[in-house]
Amino acid sequence: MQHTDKNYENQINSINEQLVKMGSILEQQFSDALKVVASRDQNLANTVIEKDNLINELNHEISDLVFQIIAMRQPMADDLRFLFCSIKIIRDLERIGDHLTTVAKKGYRVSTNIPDQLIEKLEVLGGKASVMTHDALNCLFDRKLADADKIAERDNIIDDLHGSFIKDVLSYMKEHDDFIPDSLALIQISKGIERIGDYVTNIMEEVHFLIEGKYNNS
Amino acid sequence: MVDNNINFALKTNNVYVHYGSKMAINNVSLDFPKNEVTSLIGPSGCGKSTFLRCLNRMNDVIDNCKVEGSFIMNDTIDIYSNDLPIESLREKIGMVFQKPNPFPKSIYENVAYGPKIHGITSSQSELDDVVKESLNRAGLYDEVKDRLDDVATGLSGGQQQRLCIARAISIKPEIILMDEPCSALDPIATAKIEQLINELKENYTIIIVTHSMAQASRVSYKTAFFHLGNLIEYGDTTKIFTKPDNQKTNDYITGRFG
Repeated sequence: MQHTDKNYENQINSINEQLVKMGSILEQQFSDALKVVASRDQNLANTVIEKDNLINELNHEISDLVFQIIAMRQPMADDLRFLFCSIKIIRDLERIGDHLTTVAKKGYRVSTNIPDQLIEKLEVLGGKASVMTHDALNCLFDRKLADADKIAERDNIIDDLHGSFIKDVLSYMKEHDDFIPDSLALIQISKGIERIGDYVTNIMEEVHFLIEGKYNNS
Repeated sequence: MVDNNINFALKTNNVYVHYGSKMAINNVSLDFPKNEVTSLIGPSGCGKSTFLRCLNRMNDVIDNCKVEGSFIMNDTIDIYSNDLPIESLREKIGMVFQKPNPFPKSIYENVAYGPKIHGITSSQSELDDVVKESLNRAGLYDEVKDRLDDVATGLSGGQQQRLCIARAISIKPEIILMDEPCSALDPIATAKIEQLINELKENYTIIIVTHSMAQASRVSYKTAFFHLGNLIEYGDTTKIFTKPDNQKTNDYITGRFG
């Protein structure tokens, strides 16, 4: 049911639209950042870095809107939960953007002499995190409780893949000390993706709160 | 809707109210925790004021109004018992109305009237003490102590409403009913009444009808949402205003209908 006050309805809808926009830019950023890792394409890396400014701007725009609505409308119940969660979710999305910038910045500098096997493993990790982010954004708009909880659980897979990748990189570093800077860059990329998994998990916890009015403590 | 862990000042069960053939309250059962504030909310015509007025038999004077159900105070007193004189009931359950309605008498006389007719005091000095204490508790004494003989209608709206609260508590009721007590007041006067409600709950059980969601959320411990004569949801105020169980409650308090 829509709000009787159309201006209020529009204000709430505009937050949702801005969130969709932020999520959509992030998904493109994620896809491009992973391509940078595979291709070492500097131009594409710059595109990812530039898009982070848009994410930061949207973060501030949404914050301002939520701030105004709280001050002017005294939201209650599901409106209040939505605004409360939005404020926290945009912070997580903004952080995801920061990590994708790191992935792109480090990604294009990694030597092409690094074995494909390592890069492919990193791509698998990135792919899983990217799909998790995509599903989480859909869940944010569909608001299905079971999906939110299941998506949050996928962070364990991301953590395991990250742990396994770090072990591989450390082994490679021991045998190839001339590739230590590249290996460190790979570790930073993997760590960035692992942190993205954490932020996506946070977002799913917020969606759980948005639907249920309490956090999932299981 | 009973919580066994708390004491109730008033329990109502299976309440029906009809105005002629029109049903205004449909099988409502609602208990009011002692020394707490309970808000009744809902859109105009939902029955919240009708229900409130049942609690001290204000509907008795309406010819075609028929009230059914059980109203038990302190687990013992049947509010609708023929053995209970209406004056005794009103001594136990006071009321404050939407518009301040002081008697066209002095400030002192407004507060002294109840104790006098109910024979609560036996001497002038005792009456003086009750008037002073009641005005104090209503947060008004300091503002009027030098003009107690002035006519009450000369006070500001907010002061008049606090005078009405002083008048209500002067006969030491157990329950105070408030029907939109701040709707005619400015924000500062409203804040003073709300602060007063917060202080009064230590000694009284307060049941308040309000159209202001913000006020209900600020002052009450429990909130009951009425719609079309039905009690839709009752619960902790924090829960009602953050995650109500019923979609209708959610839609009403977020401004989607009403």
